Amino acid sequence: MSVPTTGERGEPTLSVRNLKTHFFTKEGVVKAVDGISFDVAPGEVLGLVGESGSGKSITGFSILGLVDQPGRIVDGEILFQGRDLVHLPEEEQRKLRGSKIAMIFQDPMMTLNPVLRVDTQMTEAVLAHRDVSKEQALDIAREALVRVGIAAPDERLASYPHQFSGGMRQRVAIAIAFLNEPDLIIADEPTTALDVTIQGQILYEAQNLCRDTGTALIWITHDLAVVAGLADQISVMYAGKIVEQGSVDRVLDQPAHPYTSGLIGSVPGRNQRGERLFQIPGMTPSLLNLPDGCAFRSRCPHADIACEEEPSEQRTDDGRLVRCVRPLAGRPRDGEAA
Amino acid sequence: MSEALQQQSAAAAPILTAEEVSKRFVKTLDLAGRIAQRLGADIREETVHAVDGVSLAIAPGEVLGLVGESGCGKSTFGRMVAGILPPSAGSLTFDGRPIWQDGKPVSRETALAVQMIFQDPFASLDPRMRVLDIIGEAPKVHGMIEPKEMDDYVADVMLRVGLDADFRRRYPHQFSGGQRQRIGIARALAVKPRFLVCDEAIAALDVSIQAQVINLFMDLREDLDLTYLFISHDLSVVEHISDRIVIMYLGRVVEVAPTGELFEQPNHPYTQALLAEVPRIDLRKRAYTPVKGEIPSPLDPPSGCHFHPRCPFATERCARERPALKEIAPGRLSACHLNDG
Repeated sequence: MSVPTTGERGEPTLSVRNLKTHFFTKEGVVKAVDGISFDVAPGEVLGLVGESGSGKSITGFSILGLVDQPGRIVDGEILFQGRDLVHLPEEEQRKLRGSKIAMIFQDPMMTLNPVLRVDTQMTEAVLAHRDVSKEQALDIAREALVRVGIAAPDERLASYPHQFSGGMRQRVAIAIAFLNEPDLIIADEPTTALDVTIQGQILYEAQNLCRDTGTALIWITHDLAVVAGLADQISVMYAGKIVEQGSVDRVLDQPAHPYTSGLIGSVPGRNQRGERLFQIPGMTPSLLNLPDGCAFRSRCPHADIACEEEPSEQRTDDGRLVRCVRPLAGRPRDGEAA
Repeated sequence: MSEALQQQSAAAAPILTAEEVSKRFVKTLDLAGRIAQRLGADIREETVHAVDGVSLAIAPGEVLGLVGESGCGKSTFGRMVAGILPPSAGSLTFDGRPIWQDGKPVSRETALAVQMIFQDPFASLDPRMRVLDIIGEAPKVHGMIEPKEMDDYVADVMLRVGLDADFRRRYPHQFSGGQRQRIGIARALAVKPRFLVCDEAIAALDVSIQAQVINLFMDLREDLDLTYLFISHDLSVVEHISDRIVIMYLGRVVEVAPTGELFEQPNHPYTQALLAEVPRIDLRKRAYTPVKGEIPSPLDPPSGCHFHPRCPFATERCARERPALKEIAPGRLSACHLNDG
């Protein structure tokens, strides 16, 4: 299967529509995810970017149906291959998790059980979803380890997770995610804790696996540079909303939302050594008391009176979505406000 | 600016020098282990050469970036400079005076002049102390200020790092991560240091907050004539802030170069690999070509050049002989046999 070129995207693997996940705490309602929509096509990599508290991880948990009390999906649809996951019975969801949809966490020890050998954990994941013999399951597990670049898989299968280095553990976690050839993988900051050379190896494997198997991948991260090298599409989240969404080249070369532009400016880049970095003033607002209107307006250099009203999502003429009254790039297409 | 400093570091008296500094951590055997050893079992004490013969000099006013991956000894080296961990061998001097003697810090003056800023702004502040005491305690104890001046003094320092002085009676948990890091910086600055060791000081912060703190470091350098040892695994941050860069791998220095030259023409194969792996915002949909293999365990490092099992150019000599850190161009050092031609 080849990578679909952006622009002529086929039937999306996942289509999230107006998803709202709120947490009902004693202090008030935290709107962690507040009306976001996006699509991911087969073989496509979507970079979901945001800082702490932007709701990017909760988005991932919502798709997998892993939101715990006091959190709840209050509105919206999560259409996975046409089926709405929000209203799917728990038993049906459980069947999808690990077979059709898989997750990779930042800390591989969230996936791995420290007291079980790797072969036990891997064959368990195969046998839970497929009607195969134990020997066949072991073969599938061995193959998965080879695919993520682990040398001597037989030796590794007989080991416990603590005998592995951090990078090796994350590889095993990725191998488990790919075990049942899922159609969608959600990766939540999987390389943040790893060293640069190991991060390069993991990105390399992820890229190959998606290209070869046509798996759709959502890569959740705060690191724009990683997304730049890996993703096709990018969605930038701020305070529970997607503020900008489009192809990686468009968004990173000509950001339309002042927040995206600020984020890109604050990454130290080439040829500006020793110069002051652009800095976004202030800090992420508490989700408990967001300002009225645009949540970014108190930090935005371009904010004016028009920003006191909640900006709607606009589609620009270069095909991206922006949630800003005063976008920095791309003219809004008339009558296309979503 | 950086060229001038480069020459200065070679010629003028450096503010900090390290000569053949090493740090070994030994895991001694417990009773059962010793008995087993007596009975002929093959058990030995385990030694980690966390830092293995590091020599370098930092000029006054310079920012030296120290880069490496986990386990390369960069933090251990920083701690020895900051007077927290005594070296096992070698000598460290600050302003011409030794920092350590017989495993003890030599003078209080030096200890105050070299301050450290830590990675985790949540773990490095006492949760039960008010910000006023966190920042003001050290200058008060060391007699730098009168107790009654403390309030104003702390307010001054807080202002300098961009904190609202009205918050000085609050506790650390009432601040965000970026603000806590500023408290850590204020605490270091309160004793009027001349040298700061920043150990992954911005790694735990959000991108937009990172930019704020990097800018703060650059402003402080200018305003207070500070010299930095800036330890980080993040090459793009180090590139931005440093005049010179030292690359470490498994306890040893493999390359030293002025920042511009290092990024334009990395010499050591490890540096080349490291630079190739750095994700950059201007590189799109790239094909990653990763370095092979894992970082070896420092308990059992490879023979000869530590990097040879992962190096695409390794020869038989690399496995046998440790390459010396040699000058390859003015102001540039590299430890690689390939430079011998």
